[in-house]
Amino acid sequence: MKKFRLNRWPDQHERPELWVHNLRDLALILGVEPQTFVTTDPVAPAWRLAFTWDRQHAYNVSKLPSVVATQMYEAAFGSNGVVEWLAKRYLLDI
Amino acid sequence: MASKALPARYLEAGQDYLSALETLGLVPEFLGWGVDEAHDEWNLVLVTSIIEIGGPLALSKLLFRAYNLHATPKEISPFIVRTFGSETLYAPELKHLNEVKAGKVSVTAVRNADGSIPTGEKAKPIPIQALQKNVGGIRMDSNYVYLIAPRNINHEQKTEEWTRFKDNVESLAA
Repeated sequence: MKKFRLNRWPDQHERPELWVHNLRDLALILGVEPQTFVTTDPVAPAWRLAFTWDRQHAYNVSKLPSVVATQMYEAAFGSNGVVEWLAKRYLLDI
Repeated sequence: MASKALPARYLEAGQDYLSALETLGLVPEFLGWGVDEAHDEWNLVLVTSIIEIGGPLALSKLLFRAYNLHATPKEISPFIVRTFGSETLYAPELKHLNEVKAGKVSVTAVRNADGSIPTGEKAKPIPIQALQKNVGGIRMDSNYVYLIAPRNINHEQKTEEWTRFKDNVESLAA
């Protein structure tokens, strides 16, 4: 919203490309893409997981190893996670 | 569907990537190229059970460290390496590509164009030379697979392999 100076989240008819589950496609809207992301950036390993995250998860619900779940969470919300990286750049100061 | 040709630089680099991983102590259960259909991009698919010991983020960090310190080929950014654990739904799917390599898969004509039953040479099974298979949005091609070696190793052995790989990558000179 900050990047595009929006005062509300667009509905699905206005911006259908924002209503997808493909994190790589959403990141591309911000200008973040794997081809140009610096591989020495501490957030690169977390972004790599985000780019390849699949809504159709690769594990059976009953068989997801806890270390996988924990580190997926860490890749998003940890100190070098994608969410913090995004928040630092794009969170609106209201 | 016609097979998309893997760029020559990737074909060679993939073999070097396998050697580099083995040198660092990671023995993949599967390694091969496939096309990420959503982005029309070649990805190197790596299946290893140590991801279920060390975790996907820790493995991702090690792949970046190895790449940034030139221990893996420069042509293969970690961003195009797709890692799956051996317990994922995708790992068994990838094993089927091995049957093509082993010459176990063939096709047999069921009917001629006029509806008659094939006889003689036409009735003989024809071995399949290559197979494409969509696994998790990636179209794998058996022509571009380096290794299919599923292993039945226990938790202790997986932990040993993870520790060996982690220690080797972390000890790479910066």
